[in-house]
Amino acid sequence: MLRLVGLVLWKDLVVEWRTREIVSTMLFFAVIVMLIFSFAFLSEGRASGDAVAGILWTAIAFSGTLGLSRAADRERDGDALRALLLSPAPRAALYLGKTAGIVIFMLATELVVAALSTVLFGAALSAHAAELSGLLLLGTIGYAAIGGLFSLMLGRARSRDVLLAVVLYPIIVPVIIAGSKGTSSLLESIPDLAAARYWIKFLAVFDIVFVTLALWAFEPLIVERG
Amino acid sequence: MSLLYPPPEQGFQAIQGAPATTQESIPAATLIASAYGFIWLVVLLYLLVIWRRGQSTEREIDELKRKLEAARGGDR
Amino acid sequence: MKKMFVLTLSLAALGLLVSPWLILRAPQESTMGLVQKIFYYHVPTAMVDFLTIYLCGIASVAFLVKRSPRADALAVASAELAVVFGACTLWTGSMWARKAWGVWWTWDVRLTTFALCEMVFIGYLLVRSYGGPGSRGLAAALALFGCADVPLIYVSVSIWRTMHPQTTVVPNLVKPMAVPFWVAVFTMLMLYLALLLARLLHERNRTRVDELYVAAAEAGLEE
Repeated sequence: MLRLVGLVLWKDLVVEWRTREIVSTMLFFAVIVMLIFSFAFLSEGRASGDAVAGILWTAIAFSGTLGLSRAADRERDGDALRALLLSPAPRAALYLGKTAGIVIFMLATELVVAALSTVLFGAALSAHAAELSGLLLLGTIGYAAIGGLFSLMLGRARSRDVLLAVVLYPIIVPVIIAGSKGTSSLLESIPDLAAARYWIKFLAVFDIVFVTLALWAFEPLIVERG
Repeated sequence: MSLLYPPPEQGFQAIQGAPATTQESIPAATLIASAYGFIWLVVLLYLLVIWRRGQSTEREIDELKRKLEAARGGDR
Repeated sequence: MKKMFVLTLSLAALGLLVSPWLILRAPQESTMGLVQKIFYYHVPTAMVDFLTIYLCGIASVAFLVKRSPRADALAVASAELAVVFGACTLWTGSMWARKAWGVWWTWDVRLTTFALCEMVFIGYLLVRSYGGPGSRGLAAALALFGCADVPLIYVSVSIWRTMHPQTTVVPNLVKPMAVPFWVAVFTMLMLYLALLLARLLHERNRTRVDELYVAAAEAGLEE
């Protein structure tokens, strides 16, 4: 099982290493989102902690959708998903492998985006790197667990990119709330570490609930789609 | 809302004294009427939508039935 | 089913006629005054909204497990009603908020949770309309995830200030207020059942249409 997850993940990583398509487009989009928001929120070159956290998580959420739909498109090209489903591999392994790949792509983007926001907004993100990485990692897992399921399910629907945003954003609202509130509590003049840890725990619960649900729902869903 | 903003320097003349209505003076009765009225409106609209959908479905059924009858009659 | 529809619809109509009269006669609330009367319809619509949201979630799980078209019909009917009753709850709440807090909207936990539920179920209907093949399953997953999301949204937003009246006001209502309130709850419940049955009857007709199309195809007709 674990080996199969690893194989699916390895396949995605190799393809991405050769093309660098998903991470580069996600990164470009995330940076441009940050720039657009900075025009809206910056005053006198400084942004409040709330604004920086909000910009960071909005960039993550928007660029994540881009990566999700591209990753699902790859499985659609040449009917690769059908081939994977016909193989005797357990479907859960397929789902976990795809999701793990998306998590890695998103984390790569977030690393650059977070570094960039310390430079652009002068945000002291590195001061509490452990808490920040906890928020980013758990938030990304929750986002990818739901996004991975929905993007694979959308299959050949004509308006799949629009529908992905329609189904994904309302569900991941708690991730965005927890992520941005947690991040902004780290950016206060006296960082509120207790609040950040609370939000980390909250994200852990969210991840457990939704990874479990998605693992359960993947099998019956993929049967209908295929 | 617009009454709260000062009028342009020329052209429109602002009324003297307090404006007749401001945001703060929406009477409770109006709000209640709007609340209850909205529920009535939405429910009636929804019933209308279901009813119209039902009409078109029934028409579809009739047409299909007629065509099926005709096709079976033609076979004999 | 048709008999049930007629019965519930007439009970709902009766309730809609009687309950405004009862509500008007109920004593005025001491601090909020007249505007408190919105409560008698606002809370029942919110209750029914929760009922239909969770009914949709349960029906969606049943659909995912058993693939039964009846579960799917129940799910889509309750999702539509979730949008209808959610809109009623948000609108009546907004009227209340304007008088009680001086704003049409505030980011209180209940308001935010309801708004997001409304978005989830509007999304559900969008998926059903434009999702193409396999959209039933996707919509079912959305409903299931939405139901799981409700408590998490509630917890995450409740960190912010809550100014909404607590649900404890309901069991503590004085009798002259409690009677019109529970009549209104009953009315909303009957209205909900009537609309749900109407929607299910419609879905049954749709199934009949699909069967006829299959029969037509078998009989060698075009289309």
